[in-house]
Amino acid sequence: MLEANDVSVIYEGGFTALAGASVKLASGAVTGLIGPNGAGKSTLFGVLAGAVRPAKGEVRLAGEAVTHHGPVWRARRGLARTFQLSRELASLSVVENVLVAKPQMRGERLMSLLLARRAVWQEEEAGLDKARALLQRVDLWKLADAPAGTLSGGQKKLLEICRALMLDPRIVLMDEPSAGVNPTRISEIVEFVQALRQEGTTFGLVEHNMGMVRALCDHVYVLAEGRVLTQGRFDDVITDEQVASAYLGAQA
Amino acid sequence: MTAYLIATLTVVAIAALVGLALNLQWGMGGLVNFGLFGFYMLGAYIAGLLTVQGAPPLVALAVAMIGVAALSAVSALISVRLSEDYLAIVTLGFAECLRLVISYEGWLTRGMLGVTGIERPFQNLWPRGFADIGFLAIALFAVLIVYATLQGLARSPFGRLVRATRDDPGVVEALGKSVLNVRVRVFAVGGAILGLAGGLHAFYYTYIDPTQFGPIITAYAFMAVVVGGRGSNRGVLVSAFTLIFLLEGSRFLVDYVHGLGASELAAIRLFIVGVGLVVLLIFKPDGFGREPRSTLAAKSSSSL
Repeated sequence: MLEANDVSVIYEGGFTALAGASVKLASGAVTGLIGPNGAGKSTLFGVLAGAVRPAKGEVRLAGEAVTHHGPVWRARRGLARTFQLSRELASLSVVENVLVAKPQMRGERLMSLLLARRAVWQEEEAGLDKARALLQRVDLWKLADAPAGTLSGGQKKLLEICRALMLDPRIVLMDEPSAGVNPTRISEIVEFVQALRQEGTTFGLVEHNMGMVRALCDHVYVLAEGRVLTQGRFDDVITDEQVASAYLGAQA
Repeated sequence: MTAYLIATLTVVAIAALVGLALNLQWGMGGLVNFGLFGFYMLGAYIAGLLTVQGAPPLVALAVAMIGVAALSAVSALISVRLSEDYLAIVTLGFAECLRLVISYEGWLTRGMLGVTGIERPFQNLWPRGFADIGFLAIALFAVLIVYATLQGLARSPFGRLVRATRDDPGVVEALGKSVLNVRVRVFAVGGAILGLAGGLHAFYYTYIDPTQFGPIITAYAFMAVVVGGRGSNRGVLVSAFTLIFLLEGSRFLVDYVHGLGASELAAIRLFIVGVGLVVLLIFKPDGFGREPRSTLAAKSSSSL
């Protein structure tokens, strides 16, 4: 569904974040990216989403080479993402944060605002119903009118997930969705993801919470120093000696 | 006194239009337009020059709005890859260029001599002696229309998207919406309002020359938006009114304060406004007004 082939990213200043990494997010599956801090997981997500241009390598979305298309183009073809550090739209209310993600809003066109007020209104009501359903699911609806900037860290994470899902995405890239989220809510996210996978949504997951990775991921890539160290089923991968040393090496 | 009040209110109305335009571009859209005065000046010149060439004033005004909107859109395109601070420099440079062109291309703009004899719209409609009141009515009507339009925009899905691009353009792109597209439209709509304000300026004074337009217009507009609260159209109206009345009204201090001359006062007035702004930013950094929300969103959550 979505794949990166042999991509390299060198940041300004010469730091090599990715050195020829290849990953493949199979359709309808949850694919995990794990690895120590600085392994290049978030950079790889950036490359997949189009926010980071690779110096080398290729990205394919549904079989099509999309390396030279930006994030807008990819999002319109069903690729949604969340960010490692929450990027809520701080001055917008919680429900507005979700509503703004609705694709193809006629109310965002000036002509329609003048000429098709009724259609704009109906569309907005439909969007609101959907936003409400999403927010209720993560218990944020009670804060619908609060500025998103006032939410707690965990709530912002949940809000980002709702915002991404508002796109009706075919593929969702989630960057550490559990960071700062309390344990009961984490199981909520897990259920959320499982339900959507049943419906055929493809997921990419960067996560340090190994319980969550074990519960969700069909396939796991282990990244270290910008390369794919190993890949496979979670239980096989986690016993790998290289993996252990990569993690321990980063901690030492 | 009545004449003075009418004159001041007309100035307030024009300043309010400039403030509203900036509130759309910077307040809601996060686009720092330091070149405001250049677009305003262009509007004044288009309207003024066309009118003295014999075009009906309303047609001249419409051309000014369309012309400035188009040029604003182009300047937004140029600055597509620029971050906020660079946009400020580009727009400022752009405005200075405009001012220099208008000052020195005398064959087109009559240069420093200025354009005289600009005709106002509907000027034969009012009875003798009521021309200024009539024009004030037109100016206030323009403010009303622009205010209503901008409030409508602010509460619409479009307004929500504009505020989203201000908060984090990267997120908006990740949601599949073109930030450039939003910015160009914001600049164009703001430009149309600036063209309108500039045109009214030309009509009101019936004479324009390059010295009437300087960066101070930009400064006042930013003051109005900061005091009014970024994003709040109502706040901009109130603060534009307050600001101009403070600046104008303080002229009368000369009569009451002993030993104060007109020239000292001119300096002191600006000083007081500056101090007032600093005090405000310390104690009320977000200004007084509140930014509107998109209507349905606000409605539904109030009935939780």
